[in-house]
Amino acid sequence: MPVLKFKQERVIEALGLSLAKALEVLERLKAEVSVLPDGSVELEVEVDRPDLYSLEGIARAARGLLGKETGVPRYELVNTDILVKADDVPTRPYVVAAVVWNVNVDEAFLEELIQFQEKLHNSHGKNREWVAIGLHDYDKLPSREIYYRFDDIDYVRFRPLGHDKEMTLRRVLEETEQGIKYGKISLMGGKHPVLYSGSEVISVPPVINAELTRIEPGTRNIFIDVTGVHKQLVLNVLKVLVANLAERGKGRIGLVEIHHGDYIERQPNLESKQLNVEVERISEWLGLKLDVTTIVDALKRARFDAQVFDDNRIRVSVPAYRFDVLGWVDIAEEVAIILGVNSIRPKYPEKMMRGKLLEKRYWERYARLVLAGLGFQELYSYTLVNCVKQSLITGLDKASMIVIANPVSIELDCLRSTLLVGLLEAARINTHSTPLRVFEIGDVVTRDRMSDTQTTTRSRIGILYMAYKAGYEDIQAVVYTLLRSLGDEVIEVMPYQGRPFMKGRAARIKSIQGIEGVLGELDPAILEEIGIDYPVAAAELDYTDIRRQ
Amino acid sequence: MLGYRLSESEYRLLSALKGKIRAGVWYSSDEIAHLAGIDRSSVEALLRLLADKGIVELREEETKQVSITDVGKRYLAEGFPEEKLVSFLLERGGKVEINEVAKHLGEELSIAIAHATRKGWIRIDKGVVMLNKKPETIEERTTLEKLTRGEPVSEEDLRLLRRRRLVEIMTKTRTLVRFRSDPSSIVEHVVIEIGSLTRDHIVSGLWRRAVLREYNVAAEPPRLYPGRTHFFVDFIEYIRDIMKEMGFVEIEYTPVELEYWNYDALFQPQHHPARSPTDTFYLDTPREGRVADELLVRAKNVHEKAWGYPWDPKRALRLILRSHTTAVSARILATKPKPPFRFFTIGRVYRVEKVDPRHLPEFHQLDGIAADYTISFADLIGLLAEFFERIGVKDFKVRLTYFPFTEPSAEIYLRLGNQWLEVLGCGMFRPEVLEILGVDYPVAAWGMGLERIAMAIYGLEDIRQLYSLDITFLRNIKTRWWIRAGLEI
Repeated sequence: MPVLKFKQERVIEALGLSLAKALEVLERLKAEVSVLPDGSVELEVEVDRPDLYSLEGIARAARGLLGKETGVPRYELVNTDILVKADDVPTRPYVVAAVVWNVNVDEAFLEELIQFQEKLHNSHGKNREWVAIGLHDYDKLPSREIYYRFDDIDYVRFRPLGHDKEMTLRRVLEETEQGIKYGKISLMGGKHPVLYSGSEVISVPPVINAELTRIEPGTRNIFIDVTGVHKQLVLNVLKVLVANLAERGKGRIGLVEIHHGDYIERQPNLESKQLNVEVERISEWLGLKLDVTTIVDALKRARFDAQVFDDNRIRVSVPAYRFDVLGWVDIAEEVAIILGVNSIRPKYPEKMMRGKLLEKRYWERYARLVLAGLGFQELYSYTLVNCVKQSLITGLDKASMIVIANPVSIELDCLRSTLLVGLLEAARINTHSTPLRVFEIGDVVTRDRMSDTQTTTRSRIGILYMAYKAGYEDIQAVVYTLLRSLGDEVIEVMPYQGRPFMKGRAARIKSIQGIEGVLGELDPAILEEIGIDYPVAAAELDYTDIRRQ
Repeated sequence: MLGYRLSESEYRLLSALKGKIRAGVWYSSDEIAHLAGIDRSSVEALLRLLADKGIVELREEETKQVSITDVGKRYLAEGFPEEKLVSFLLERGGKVEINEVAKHLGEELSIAIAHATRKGWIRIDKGVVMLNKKPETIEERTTLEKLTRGEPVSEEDLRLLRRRRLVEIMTKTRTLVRFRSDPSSIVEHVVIEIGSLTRDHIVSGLWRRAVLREYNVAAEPPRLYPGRTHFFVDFIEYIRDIMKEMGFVEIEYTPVELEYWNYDALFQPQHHPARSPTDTFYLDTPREGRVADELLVRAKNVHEKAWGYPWDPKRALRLILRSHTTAVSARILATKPKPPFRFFTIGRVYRVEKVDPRHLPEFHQLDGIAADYTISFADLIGLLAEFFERIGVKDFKVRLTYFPFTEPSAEIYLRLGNQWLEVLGCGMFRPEVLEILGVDYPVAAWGMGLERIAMAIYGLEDIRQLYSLDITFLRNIKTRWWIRAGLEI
């Protein structure tokens, strides 16, 4: 969730409310609010509402919620003489632009503007890869002719924002902080997107602007460029930017013509999206008895326009900056927000339905009781384990385990394929407490080419006995007792040779009810490597395919 | 004589001595042990106890035992050093230079000279040893020989030998015992006091004459450590039972998941920040799974229409560890079950988090879905309210929020004691999700973490304690049985 920070005075000023009232309104707008020790206000806004990333946008919503100003906000769209001529830029094909007048930047607003831009980059621009925003002082543009080209980085020279010298684009990409961070996104074959005003570079999206058009306190009008790889995302970002900036200005937005060869378009397009919604459907979805008037009134306060068709249908106009509204369910949610979620009373379930647990749960529950009765303490351990330890115990190599590409620590880089990893760790840390009798029931995951996930989950029970003298019979007795108590019987026993057991002192068994497993004495070489200086006898039984006799 | 209270072992000793000893006669404890056929050390202790009760009299008797030391034995056999000196002088005519004497006697020289001088047998003048007279007897030898024959010797003689370390004297104490009356008559009248009743007492009828010793009933008993089921597993099983009671059918699926089921099917755009290695665990091996083409096509259409980006099917096949159990709910919905139905799953989910007292990279989630031809957000909140009441939570708060896959979406805070915990996200699956999954009825869903509730119930401060392998911790944690009785948490 984007976290925004504002100065307290600015919150009060922009919303025109006392701090307490402002915080209450913010909560109702789905924002999580806290006042920091330095007095600033921190907001966690949901990613679906980029129109709430700036105070002017929040104020617009708040006025609606409080009924001070309702319906779709109107902005004046005027033509400008700015023309963007866009070449084919293969790595970043889309560019659009707009002007917002009378924004009147001051110090506090400049910070908010940068925050707004960065949050949009993160939540909607895939960190500038898909969409990047350039903000310029309109009055500093040397020319009304804007060019968007894919140019050789050795031939482009300009003074990047925040630097005191002119340099080649190559140096900008290779040596500046921004260049190192974002310089590879749109670079291809030594060429990079460049935006010119006349012959001067004003931006190299998505990396950095030029110092030339720097916005600073005192800047009155803002020129916006948005570039990217997906057209709809680029247009959406432009819409929310101009609509929120226009809230600060006097609502005047300048249209910019873009020429892509013979294709000409004018942006931004702030036309509302039209949706027809059914009263009954919204009522049923929310579980609230609603009439047409209530919904229409609520939607207007949500800054939508709403017109009644008939008793059941409403035509809704959704402002362009609310591109998060995809369909009628989003309209339903707006109604819930405006009416308050507490207006929806819980409806307790009335229908009787038959619940059911997985059959194996009942086997597990008896197994746990029997083992506890035999003096075994149940354990519960992590399923993330260390690959090397698991290899040591199972003999599996990395290619046959489930290995995480981005583990949080190398201690937790594999998904367990045996319960013995956890049980032996328990043995290692509890050598002061012998004889030790422990068991664990849980899932392990193994490779399986037949499965859609290339893996399969197996339900296992692991049992471990550690003592001054712990042998095959000690664990065999426990396993046989467990199975017989559960009405089962061993039907096949074969000597087992393999890790982590000792040759000639381990077995593989099968039971009538479908259990398969291994049991035996652990190889002291492995115990020593783990750091256990007591003999250990253990068993691991797989009851995934448990069935009644 | 009546009224003696004897312990069982005292009684056994007396019984064993019946008819073997007489009253009023002194016996050593060794003799008693021999007669009773009981080992000496326990006999000593028992006799003392009997003496305390006035049944016997005890007397300690000290005896001295003299034993000849190794040196003494050697002198007897080889001659005393002073004897050797005298015979050497006699051999050499009664006068020998001291150097030569030294050569002859070696290390015994100084002993020989000291004793021969003391006895007046020799004198030394200017380095020459001279014999005064030929001695008749040596007292020490006479005494030692007497000792060897076991004849009495005088204290004075003994002292002389002790000074020369030729004998050692050891004092030995032995216990003598005298019964006031015949054991046979004692055992007939005693009451036997026993610590614990055994089968033998019952079989022999001895219990009739026995008195069981009274306990200090307030004393701490020894600690016992039963085998126990794990408290967190117990809690999970309890939640499963509640879900079953509420008409939910349990389902499960492997925690290795395709991005498709974890994200794409749930309408989470591919550029969503959670779909990155900073939040989600990606697998190195295996890397890619499979999904039916039909499902891929539907996801592509829905994503591209709504979000306006080119949806990448390759990305959807990428294998991850599931970040929520809603993936399991998505899978069951794709099988198009016939409503009404209620399903739930409890399983582990994984998120890229460092291990600390409040975070783990793996934890448990409960996911529930309920569908009917008409099911509403109010039904969902009602279902949850019912669930909360069953687990003993009376107060909860609903707050609207955003999830890509539900609309409306809400977070629910539960009051546990005096803390409010955010443990649950819920909502109505979006039509886009239902379209991808191929379902044409509304579905209410929720997902809830179990760790934080369990911690609150068990009073744990550190989430890692839920997974502790420390046997002492696990043996000592208290059950919270009243939670299962549905009492308020």
